[in-house]
Amino acid sequence: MMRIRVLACVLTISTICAGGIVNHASAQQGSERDTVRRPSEAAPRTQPASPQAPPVQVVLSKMHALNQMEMQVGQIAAERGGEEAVRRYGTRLFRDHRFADSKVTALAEEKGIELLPLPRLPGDQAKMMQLKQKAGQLQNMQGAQLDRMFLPMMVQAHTVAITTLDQALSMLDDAAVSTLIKRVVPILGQHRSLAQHLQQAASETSQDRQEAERVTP
Amino acid sequence: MTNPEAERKPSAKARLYGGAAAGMIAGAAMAMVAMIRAAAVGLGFWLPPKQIAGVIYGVDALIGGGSAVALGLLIHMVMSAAAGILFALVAYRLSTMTSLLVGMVYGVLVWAVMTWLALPLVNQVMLDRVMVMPNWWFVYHLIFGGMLIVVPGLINAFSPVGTRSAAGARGSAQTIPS
Repeated sequence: MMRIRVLACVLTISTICAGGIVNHASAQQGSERDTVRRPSEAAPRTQPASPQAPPVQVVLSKMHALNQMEMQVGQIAAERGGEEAVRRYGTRLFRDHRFADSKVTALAEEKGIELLPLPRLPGDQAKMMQLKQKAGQLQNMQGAQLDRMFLPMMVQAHTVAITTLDQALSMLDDAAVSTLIKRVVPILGQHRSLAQHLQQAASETSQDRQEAERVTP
Repeated sequence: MTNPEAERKPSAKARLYGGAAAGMIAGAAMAMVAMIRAAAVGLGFWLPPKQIAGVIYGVDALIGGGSAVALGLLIHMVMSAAAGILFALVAYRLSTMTSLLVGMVYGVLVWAVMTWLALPLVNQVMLDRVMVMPNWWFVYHLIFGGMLIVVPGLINAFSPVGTRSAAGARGSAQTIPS
């Protein structure tokens, strides 16, 4: 009986300690990644948003806009992509960004922040608007044609997203938003790597086909 | 002159088989909770095993098909069996209730090893993803550890018939000296 009490105490203490370090672990993961990945340290800081739109609102709104756009293109690729791998990638994008968006909207709601649409955001949103236009063009495509446009677009979109969020991280002092960004950025990195791999595989396949056509009389 | 302490010790074979079986049961329960949770939040039922398959396929495992899922489940079950064996080799004398508590502490230990040692070394893809939901990642390991409650019963079940204890049926791992 005594032994059980001692064990119960050990369990309780270890659970409390471990629970405390769970968050520390994730924060540490983020800061470790920062030292490796954050390009913004060398780059000049972006100008803070206008006084009407606080930085947290701008960042959450940008994240929301990016998630919405990637959900849209992910769904198009999942339904109309040429290669099976591209369709699966589309599904993965859709699911991950839907999940990320639920976190963004929940956080905005918790802080009582209104999420602004892209055109209403201060600063230069040219790159994001350009991506949004390209996403619109995808709606009229399918099969290999869609794959050819979709994959480079995803590499570009995720590069823009990672840069934007890294820069945002350097000017934010909101712990909850910073933690969310630190958790999301590596997933965006995975999406970009996947798009690059698929692009590479597609170019190798087309090279093989061209070679086979040359060899075949 | 025999050593009664040694005689009460279950055979190495019983501890090995019992630990492996318990580890697989605990691992299956952990995987099931993780997969149901992933499906519930909209990330997809098969995402957890695909993440595990990242150890071989890298980031491509995330868009892998059946082979990635099968590989992930296989790796998970082998690792769970190994963790179960390790637990059974060390904690074979515990009663059912004690193994629940010690098992949960062991689960926390496994979580710490996975988070700070194993995943950073061999599966960054999975580490990035589990850090999106760090609290759940911790809970999954508590479930694994808690399910090791079956260790005493399984060690007893794998012990030779003559050496099983009546208490074993109630969950104690102690065997009757022959």
